Amino acid sequence: MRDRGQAVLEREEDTPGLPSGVSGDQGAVGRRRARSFSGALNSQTLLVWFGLLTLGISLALTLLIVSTGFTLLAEHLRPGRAAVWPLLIFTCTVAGLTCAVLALLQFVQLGVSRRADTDDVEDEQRWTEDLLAWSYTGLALPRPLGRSGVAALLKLRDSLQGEVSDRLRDLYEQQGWLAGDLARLRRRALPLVTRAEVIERLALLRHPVALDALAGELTHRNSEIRALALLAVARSVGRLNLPPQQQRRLSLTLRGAVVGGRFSVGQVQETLTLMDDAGLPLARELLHHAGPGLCAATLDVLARRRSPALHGEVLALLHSPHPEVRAGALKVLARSRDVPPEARAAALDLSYDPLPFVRVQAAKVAAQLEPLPELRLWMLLGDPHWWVRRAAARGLIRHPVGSALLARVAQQHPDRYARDMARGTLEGEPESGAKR
Amino acid sequence: MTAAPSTSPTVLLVEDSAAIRTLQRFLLARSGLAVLECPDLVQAEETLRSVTPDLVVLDLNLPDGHGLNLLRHIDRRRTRVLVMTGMTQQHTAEHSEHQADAFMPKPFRPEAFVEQVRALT
Repeated sequence: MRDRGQAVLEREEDTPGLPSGVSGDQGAVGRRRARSFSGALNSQTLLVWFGLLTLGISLALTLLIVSTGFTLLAEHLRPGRAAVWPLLIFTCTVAGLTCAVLALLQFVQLGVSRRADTDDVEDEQRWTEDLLAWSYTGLALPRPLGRSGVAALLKLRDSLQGEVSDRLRDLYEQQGWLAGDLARLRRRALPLVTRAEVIERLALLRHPVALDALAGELTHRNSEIRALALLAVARSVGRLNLPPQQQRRLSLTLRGAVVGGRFSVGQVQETLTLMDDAGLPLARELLHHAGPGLCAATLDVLARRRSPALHGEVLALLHSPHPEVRAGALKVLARSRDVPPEARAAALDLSYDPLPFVRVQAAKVAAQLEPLPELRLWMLLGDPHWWVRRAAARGLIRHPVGSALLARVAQQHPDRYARDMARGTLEGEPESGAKR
Repeated sequence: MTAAPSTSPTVLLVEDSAAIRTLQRFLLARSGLAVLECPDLVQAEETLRSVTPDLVVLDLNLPDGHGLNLLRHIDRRRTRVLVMTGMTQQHTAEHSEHQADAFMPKPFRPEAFVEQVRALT
């Protein structure tokens, strides 16, 4: 049982070469795993047989119904025709019985399918335990890595950092899976699903050797494959400590792909997020070379990171002709809580911007300037737009000088809405101040 | 839910990925801690009705809701909470750290994980 199951596994999964970390251990663990694997294999074989049987029965039923129809038609057209009732009753009975058998088969197939799923999960869990035992105690693996073993290995690799994680990566390579995946990616005629599976595996593996192959998929004709490859490269670059030269080269490749318009704004944002600090060179490239939409999306990611790392590039964008870019640049400064003094003049200019969503961000930045531009903030608290008033008030409440200004606004501002906003903010009301 | 011996500090793992749960259990069991496991919020709530663990290791993305929803079912005077998630954005980390006792991003270093759990139990 074990030998047959294992042989089929190796043939089906194209397990390349002999594993270096695997012994010929024929112990209890191996037998248990082999039994489980054979069970899963039997379930899959059974599913195929059920499919074939169902198809055969359906075809036979169709043939029966069609031939009955022809017979009835021929009988009906014949001058001295015989009674058709016996034939009709026979056909209906056979059709009814066949439907019952088909329904029964469907139920059995469902059961077997569920059993196969459970077997897969259990197999993967056992592999997880075996891989952990191999990593930590040096216990030999019971057999070469199959599909479940690879799934378990990649999940562990994805969850861990450090020596054990790297040993798992090396095991994947030693057992020939990496070479197999790279060879598959080189095949032009590879089915899309298989290509996607390979890319997902390489994304989880995070191996520097695979980066060029993944980057090559960024120009694939299928958009889903391109998107998968983009995220795979981003995941790998974000978590590998690559040499600066290789990182720079990859950033340029990614910039070329992204600026070339092959990806959606959301995919680009996800890429930058996944790349983390390693994405800063790409973000810098995009701020310099991308169009206003992509530039604003990049600024949005930088704002969420709350990092002042690219403030040099961001300051230049405060003078952009595109309002989304101006607002995005202000948002990066405000969220970083590290507004450079050079931003003061531009931020105060933008607090007069005709578009309220730019003024909202300008108010947030203005409330962080040192010294506080009290006169301008006094005026922003009387802005016609509620969101601008709110941004100014919430910015001011954060420090003592601002709170004192708010207290004065609450008493002395000529605009009733400004007084309401200041009073409500001082009292801690979440949605203070009436809208005009 | 997996049974655990009662002598050593008890850690409840709330994590939907069987591989990560197995990994965490393996690491904690090796360092002598008793481990309970739940794959979702419903089972975790049931477990917390009958057991008061010393620590809950909590994933945020669970199949039946956000991990932090479990906090109201935890007796925070007796049980500490370590949030572990792959969502490492600044705001997620800050929010989790504010609500829980500690936060650890995934992927993690096994030694750091065990050390953190030891410090909290």
